[in-house]
Amino acid sequence: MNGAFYIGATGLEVQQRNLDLIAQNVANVNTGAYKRAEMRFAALVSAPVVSPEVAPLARSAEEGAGGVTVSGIGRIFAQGDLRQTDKPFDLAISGEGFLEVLGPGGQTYLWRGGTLKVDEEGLLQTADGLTLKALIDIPANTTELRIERDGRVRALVAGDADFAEVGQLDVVMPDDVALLEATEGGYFRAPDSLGLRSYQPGDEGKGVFVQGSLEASNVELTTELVGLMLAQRAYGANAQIVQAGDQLMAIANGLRR
Amino acid sequence: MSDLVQAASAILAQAQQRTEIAGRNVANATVPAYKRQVAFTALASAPGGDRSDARPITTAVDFRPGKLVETGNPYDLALGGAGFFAVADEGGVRFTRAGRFTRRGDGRLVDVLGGVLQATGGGDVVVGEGPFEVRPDGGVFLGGKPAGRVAVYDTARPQALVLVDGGFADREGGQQIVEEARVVQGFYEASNVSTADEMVQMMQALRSAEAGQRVMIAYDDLMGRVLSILGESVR
Repeated sequence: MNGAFYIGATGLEVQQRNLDLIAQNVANVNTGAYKRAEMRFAALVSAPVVSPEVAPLARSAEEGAGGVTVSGIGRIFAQGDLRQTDKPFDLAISGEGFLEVLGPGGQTYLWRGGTLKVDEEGLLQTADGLTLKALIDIPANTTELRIERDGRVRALVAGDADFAEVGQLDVVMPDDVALLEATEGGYFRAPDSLGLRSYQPGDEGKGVFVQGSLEASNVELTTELVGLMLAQRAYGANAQIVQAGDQLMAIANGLRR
Repeated sequence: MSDLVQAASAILAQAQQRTEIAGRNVANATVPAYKRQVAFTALASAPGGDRSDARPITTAVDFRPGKLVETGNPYDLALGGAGFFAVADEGGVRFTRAGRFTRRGDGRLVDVLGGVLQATGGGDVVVGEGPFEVRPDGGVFLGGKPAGRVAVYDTARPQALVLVDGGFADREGGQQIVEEARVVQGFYEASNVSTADEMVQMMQALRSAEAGQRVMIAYDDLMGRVLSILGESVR
């Protein structure tokens, strides 16, 4: 059977998915704390059974007849630039850790920071309404909120002379960041089996909190565009292979006029 | 007489195999450290004067290194010189130059197919959870403290390497540690496929298939004419 068809087709499929991923990165270049994703390729090898008496240099062309496959999608958790906004409810993490928030069904979501708000009950939430797991209660009539680099949250209530400490934020690190699943809204879902460890902010470079700043995405347009051109050309080359497979069949069909 | 038919069908079959090999190389052009395969026809004919034209196409692996691509990602390792990384999984030890690793939960470095990077003297490379550095000689340092060395192997007989998923397996076990290895952190090796070469190979194969077709048609033509002439003379 004409294998060029199928080999070329695996290449087309993989490059198509690669393009999708690059498009996603480029679309999110301005999304706060977005972490770029990257495609990992692996060569497919089928039937690697070789008889030992094959001539040393030469091997049958049948060996390793296979195309290419996506072995996984890697997310790059490199730090994005911190942009100063001077808004007291903007919070970023400088370092590799995450903030733990409660997902809509009570699951553990990890968050790289963003804009905060206070809900009706006075709890500190993310801008789209997920409560921080530290359950920090902001007293009514608070005029000023401070989040220190070490995670202490202090509030100044109208009429008081001094800030009062109202809670403590921790940074958490999963055992294996590769197992995090990205979900809507820039959160990462931690599977139940994944171990999470809490750290005092500032511990072992796990990160400190920076109030009044937002983390930008870590997408670099130059990298993405180079990847885009490469994917486009690779797609074209694979299409040529499929076309060649087609021509070979046309030639065979033309044997009998 | 049927020699011609045999020759023509051999040309067609070989063209197909050559296209397949070009296709495999092109499909893997973006796979890190993929080594292109070269098609060639064995020169020697079988002993006993059998000059069969249907020689199968054989392939050899072109071990020339690919270009190094900078990523700045500390988990990407490339080899500046000859050799292979050794990664171990359930299937045994594989040898590969594709150094795109990720850190597993237990602090080990694993490649795209889940194989664990091996250190010299046996055992896995463990980088723990903090920042780490891989020096050019392969030495792994965690916060300035040495923590083993990435094993780089090479063999004097690359012919003994067998393609497997995600690298090569060594049939003969002739892999030796390379002492003067050069490991580069923050880079990975691209494949050594050049699409232009593969396109030329493919066009060549297509044209030779066309030639095979011509031979076949000419032969068919000839036979047709012979039959009609003979048929007329009988009448």
